[in-house]
Amino acid sequence: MRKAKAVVDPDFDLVEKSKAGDNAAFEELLSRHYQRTHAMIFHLTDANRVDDLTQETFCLAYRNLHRFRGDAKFSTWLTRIATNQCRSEWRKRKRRGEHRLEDVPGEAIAEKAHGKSKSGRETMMETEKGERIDREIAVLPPKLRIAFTLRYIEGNSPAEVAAILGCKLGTVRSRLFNAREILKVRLRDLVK
Amino acid sequence: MNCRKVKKNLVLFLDGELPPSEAAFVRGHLEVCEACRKEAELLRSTFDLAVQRAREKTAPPPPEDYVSLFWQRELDERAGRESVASGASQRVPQKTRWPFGGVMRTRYAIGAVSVIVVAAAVLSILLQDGKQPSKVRLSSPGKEVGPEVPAIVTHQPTPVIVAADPFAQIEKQLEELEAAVRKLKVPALRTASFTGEEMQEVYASIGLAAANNYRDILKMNDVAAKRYAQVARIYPETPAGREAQQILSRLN
Repeated sequence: MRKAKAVVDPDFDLVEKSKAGDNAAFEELLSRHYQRTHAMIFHLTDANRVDDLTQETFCLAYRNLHRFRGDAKFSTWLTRIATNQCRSEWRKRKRRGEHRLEDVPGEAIAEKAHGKSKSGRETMMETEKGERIDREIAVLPPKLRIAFTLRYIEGNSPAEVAAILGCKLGTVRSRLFNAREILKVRLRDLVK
Repeated sequence: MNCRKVKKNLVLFLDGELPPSEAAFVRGHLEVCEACRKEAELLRSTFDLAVQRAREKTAPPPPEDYVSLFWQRELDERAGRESVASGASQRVPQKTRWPFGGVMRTRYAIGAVSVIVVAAAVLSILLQDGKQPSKVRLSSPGKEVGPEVPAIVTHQPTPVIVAADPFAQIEKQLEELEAAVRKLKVPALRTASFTGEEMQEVYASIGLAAANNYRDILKMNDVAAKRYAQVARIYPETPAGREAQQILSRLN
């Protein structure tokens, strides 16, 4: 019989207390993971729905805590809920005929990132370039985009991404490879 | 052959995830093969571009009161689930698989079936008479010739009055009344000396409006008290629950 691999989870005690009905413990989990989850959802969806989806993620986690068996870390489980929420959001938008593109807060970000010393034309070009990159990432196939974001933007290891997505390490590597190949082709002209 | 193998492993090589021996092989190959070197450089630069841009986009800060917002949302959704369970609210539409293929929401399916049933019922009523279905006139009851069509009774829910700010409403009504008084052509009222029968009527109407608003406020307090009691009952050990308990004790 295959034995479940023991996972050292810093949230173990809090999860157990929350399962026993200690809401203060769940609030502690909430404060530990809220910011990270919020940022991750921001990178996967547009800014308008981030607060809503983050709240929904934690509501789902709270309601389904009894199903969490502790095979993986709580943070991994939570991230899986969040990515599923994002995928569900994309599906809804697709059904409504909306694009899966992000709301690109172009100029504000460009100014913040590059300062105001650049000329208007340069800033505009930077903005356009940034928006183009955002778009190319946003239109990656969902599975590739999630793997790419979790690995390279959120900084998870491939093994962690595999645990979050519930797939094999080889599958994650293949998705990362494909995502990078697609970006290589689509962003080729932006590289000097 | 080497090029194909190297290209296959380039992403792992760039991520530093290749075992040392294979990494050394790829590195050695990149030193001698220009095509693979260019490929690796392009892969690296486009990747850097995308990741740098994505990391530059900093997420907006989460709302400060996210904990209380969370409990509020959880409470709302729990209330929604309870009402669904008790059948008081609309059910979440379920998917129905049709025999001829395709998926349709049950709500639409029920709608379609109801339309068919109603159409069939109306048709059968019309055909009962059989000979003179064209003489049925629904809009002129005095001259009706066809069979009597039962009136459809619709139960409309009683509108719940929720005043956003009852005090502001009272003030607004007072202002409107005063403005109306000023427009009156009675000189005594235009001078706003607050005398005379008309003015008393105005007072009475103001009082009535105020009383109505006061009743709304009481109604709102009642709703609020129920809500706080719910919070205190379900989440007794949380700050939200404790705060709700305090407010309840003040209200009582």
